[in-house]
Amino acid sequence: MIEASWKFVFASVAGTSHDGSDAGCQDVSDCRVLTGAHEAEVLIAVAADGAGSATRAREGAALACSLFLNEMEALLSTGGTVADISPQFAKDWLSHFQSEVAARAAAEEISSREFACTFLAAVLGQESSVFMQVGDGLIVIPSAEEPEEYCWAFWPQRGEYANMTNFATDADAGEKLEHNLVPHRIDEVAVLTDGLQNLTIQYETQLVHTPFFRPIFEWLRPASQASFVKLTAAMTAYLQSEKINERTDDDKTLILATRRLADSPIDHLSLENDNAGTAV
Amino acid sequence: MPARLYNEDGNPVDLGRELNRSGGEGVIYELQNREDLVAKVYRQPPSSEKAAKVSIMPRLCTERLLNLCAWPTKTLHDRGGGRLNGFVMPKIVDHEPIHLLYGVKDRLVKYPDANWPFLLQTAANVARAFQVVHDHGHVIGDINHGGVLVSKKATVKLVDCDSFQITWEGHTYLCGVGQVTHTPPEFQGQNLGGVVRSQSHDAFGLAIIIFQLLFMGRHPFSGRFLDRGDMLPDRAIKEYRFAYGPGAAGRRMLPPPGVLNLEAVTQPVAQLFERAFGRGTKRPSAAEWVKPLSDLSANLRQCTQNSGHYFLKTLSSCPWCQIEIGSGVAIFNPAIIVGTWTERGGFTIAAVWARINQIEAPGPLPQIIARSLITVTPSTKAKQLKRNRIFKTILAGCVLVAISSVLFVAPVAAAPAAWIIVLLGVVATVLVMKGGREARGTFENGKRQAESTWNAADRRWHGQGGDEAFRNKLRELEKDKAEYEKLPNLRLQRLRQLEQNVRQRQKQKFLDRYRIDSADIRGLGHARKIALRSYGIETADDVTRQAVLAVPGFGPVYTSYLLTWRNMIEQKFVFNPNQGVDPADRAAVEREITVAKSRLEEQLQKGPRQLLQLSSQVKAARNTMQPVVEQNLKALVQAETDLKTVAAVTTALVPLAVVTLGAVLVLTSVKQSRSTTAVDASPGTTHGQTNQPYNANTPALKNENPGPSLEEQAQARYLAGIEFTKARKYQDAIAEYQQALVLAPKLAPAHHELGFAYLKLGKYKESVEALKQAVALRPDNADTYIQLGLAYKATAHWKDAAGAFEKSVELKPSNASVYYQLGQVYEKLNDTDAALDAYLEGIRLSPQYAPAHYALGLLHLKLGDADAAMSEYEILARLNKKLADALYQRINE
Repeated sequence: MIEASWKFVFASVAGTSHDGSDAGCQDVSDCRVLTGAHEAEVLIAVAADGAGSATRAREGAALACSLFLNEMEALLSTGGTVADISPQFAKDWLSHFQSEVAARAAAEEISSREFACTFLAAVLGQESSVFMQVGDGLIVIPSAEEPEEYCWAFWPQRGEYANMTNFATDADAGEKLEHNLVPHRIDEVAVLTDGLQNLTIQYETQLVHTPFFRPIFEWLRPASQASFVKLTAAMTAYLQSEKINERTDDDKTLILATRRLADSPIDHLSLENDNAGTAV
Repeated sequence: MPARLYNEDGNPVDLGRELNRSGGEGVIYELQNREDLVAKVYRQPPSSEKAAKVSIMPRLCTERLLNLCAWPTKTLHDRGGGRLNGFVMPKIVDHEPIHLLYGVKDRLVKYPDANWPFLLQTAANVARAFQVVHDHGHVIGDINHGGVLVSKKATVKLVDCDSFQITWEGHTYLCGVGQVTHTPPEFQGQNLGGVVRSQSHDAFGLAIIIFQLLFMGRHPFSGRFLDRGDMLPDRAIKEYRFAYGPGAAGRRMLPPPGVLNLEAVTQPVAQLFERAFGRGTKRPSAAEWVKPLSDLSANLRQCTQNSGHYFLKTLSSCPWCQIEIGSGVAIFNPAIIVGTWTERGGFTIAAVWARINQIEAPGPLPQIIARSLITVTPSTKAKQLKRNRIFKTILAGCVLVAISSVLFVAPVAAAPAAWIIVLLGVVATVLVMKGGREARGTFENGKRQAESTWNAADRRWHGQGGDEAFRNKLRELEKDKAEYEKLPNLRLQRLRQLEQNVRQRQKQKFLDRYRIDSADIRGLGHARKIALRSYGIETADDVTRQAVLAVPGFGPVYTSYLLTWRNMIEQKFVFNPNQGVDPADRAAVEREITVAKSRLEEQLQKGPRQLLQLSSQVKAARNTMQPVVEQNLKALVQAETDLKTVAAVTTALVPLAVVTLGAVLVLTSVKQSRSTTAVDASPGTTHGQTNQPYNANTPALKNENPGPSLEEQAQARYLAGIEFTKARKYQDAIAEYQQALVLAPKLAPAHHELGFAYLKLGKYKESVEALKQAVALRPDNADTYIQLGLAYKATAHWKDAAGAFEKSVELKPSNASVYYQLGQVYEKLNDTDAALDAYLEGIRLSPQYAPAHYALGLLHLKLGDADAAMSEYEILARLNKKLADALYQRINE
């Protein structure tokens, strides 16, 4: 059997609320395929949403993403596997991230709070997958029972107040950190931040709005990873489209990754004609 | 390995005991017949290039090299003229690898007395050793912490000389190896096999070693990278990211926490580091380090808190203390101070404490003069001002009355006349008030100034004159004494604690034996190990989850590998209950107690001198300050009195208002009544009419006037007069009393005081007149009769004088001085018996009253009773020397 390769695309775009303002986009995301033991591919998708109120939020978000990717490289290059990413591992990673933030904050005599960001990570190996999350945002995977339906890995975290959430820089983030090690193979994943949350879940039923995801995964599956730049441009345009912007003014990140084979070739442009964004 | 080899001359060399393996490529043996030499025998036959290098090295050997290096002196072969398989070199004893000195944990055990000056000395010696090799045209090449050895005297030896890069007769024999952490940027990531190195290459590695010696074993390129990605020392070297110094942030680096920063060395030394580690700078040669390092050594001072700490004397505080407090880990052992007195053994706490108790305490701040006891009279200026105001007020009042009178007479209607008066009254009031306010302002300023001067003086008085400092020092010494007396118990307690923690300590020591840099740990290369050391993690004992996760580049992955390694070692640990407390730990406690004891003894020893100094300082301060402080207080009271005097002037405006109001009332009522009764007013009747309303309206005026009465005004004048009298300004006093009497002619005390003031000025006639008035008004005042008697006496009216004094004595029989006066007058009247009685009565009432004794003595003399006069003299001699002498003279005439 020929192993299908990962195809992925990701983008973070600034919300309309501070388009043109100095704040810029506080979302950071990254997605990579690394090679672990026995040449097995491991997909890593990571996103962080910098807190709007924090002055160094983007730096915090970027640090979280790069530190997590470094860690995955260290794990796989020293013979580790996805299954080694235990709850303790996740907690340790968070402590490590926090000590990096604390050292930077101390050097500039500011509070760690200035680097506040959420954190979302998905690590998909051959036989197991791990999801981690602090704060709001969403990791979406195909349902185990109904592969055509999608479900969330964790319900988005709300903070003490309605428009607040938890941050990876919080002192008690270790307790808020969600971790799930799934001992089976998962072939598709989407990671998105707060900005797209309202378009993709139904709060009353606490279900993922499958019609949002089905067409975009169908769009990605037949694509070639070689056309990554083109894919990214299409995704960015999609995230900046009026259809999306009339539903959210926040920064938004979307990471899509799939190793499912396409049922039939689909026109790349079909994305523009789909009915995404009609949820809720 | 055959026990016998042959040197290049074919002579046999017999090997002895195997010593240790060197770098894995050879084995070191003792020689059987030479204790000062050893042999290195290669395990594998060396390459022909290496064999060629080693075979020429004995020829290049010099005295200077031999002093500092384990330089090959003979080559070794398995048979005469055979293949080279080793060499002979000097045996180096009492020297250990340098990392045992710069690694903090190892140093505290291996070199317990090594302090920062020792490390600086070592650094200079390393530079000297490098310089010697360079002077010979060679390059060390493979600089690593195993190739440099250090003794307890900070002397340095270089080993592994067969790996040096040797140039001879135009041919360069290469080194070929190197350690990434000591390799300069230009060779990072390169295969060093074919690289020809320069002395500048060594300069980089030398700077790394010197940095490690000075900065707690930390690697200069190990820190936290502020941008993304893993930044191990090798990559940091390649990218010129020196993690220390003011430029570190610009290189996106942050030094590890709790380290000495680059400001802790002198500018020249810091500049050498910047040059060695910078991009495009000429690296300092080995020779360049020597002087700046010894200059740094010469500019250190010892920490007052911890005798093991030495630091650059231009720093404001001890950086080592800060680091130790921050990390809770000792960097240097405190040194034991051996003072001269301990050597003499003369310290006993009882003796020192007795000396401390002998120091007289300055005691609480003495009382300065009480404010209530200060009596001052207003200054001339204040009084003048006051008189001016009164004069102006009276003048204005007179003018008002005059105008009122004119208006009263003039054919003007009541209302406009009244308005004119009111207007004039207001103008007069404003004018007088304005002057008053200005004057008042001057005196308010004066008072404010006096106040601030006094406050400052009072603060100084309390500050420098107080015994606070003395009492604090005494308390401090009491604390030291208590601590000193507790030391024996503390020592026992600490030793007991060692027994209790013996298992834990044993385990710690066991774990400390497993050094990370010599361990084989999953995923950990040399650079990563150096990074750990730069964050203070040296042995298995230092490996804890929290500590490792705080090191940049050590996330959960490497942390788990390290923890696994530690757990593996921990499992090997077997507690040996028989081993008991490690003697080194016991020694550490003893050392700590001894250090504390020395420190306390020194403090206590200095105590008496310090207390004495503080005490005399306070006393001296009090002596010089007290008069000044009291002077300042007096000035303040004076200023307050002046202000009060001037302020009183303002109230003098009230009469002006009263006059105005009165005039208006009179005017209106009279003018109105006149307009109803007599329309035609002839000038002839005016006079009668002018007088009439005055008399008629005086009661009305009194009734309607709510302001101060004439009596009250008179009282004020009178009191002002009293002030002048007290100041002996009788002329001024007389003016005031006269004013008072104008306002209230029946004011008896004013008459009395007026009489007294005249008496003092020698105006006896006036005095008698005034006093007579006083007597008439207040016949029961004994004092008035006294003054009257004195006035009569002064004018030789003896009879009247006698009468007045008699009256006084009648009213108040207890006044001794009056009897004396009476006696004098009776003598004038030749009534000797009466005079005698009067003097005796005076003496009875007041035995100490000297003039009475004198007068009595004279009287006795006059009556021919010299003995009686003599006994008066004897009494006088104790009371008044002057009068006694005068009497004695009269007796002996």
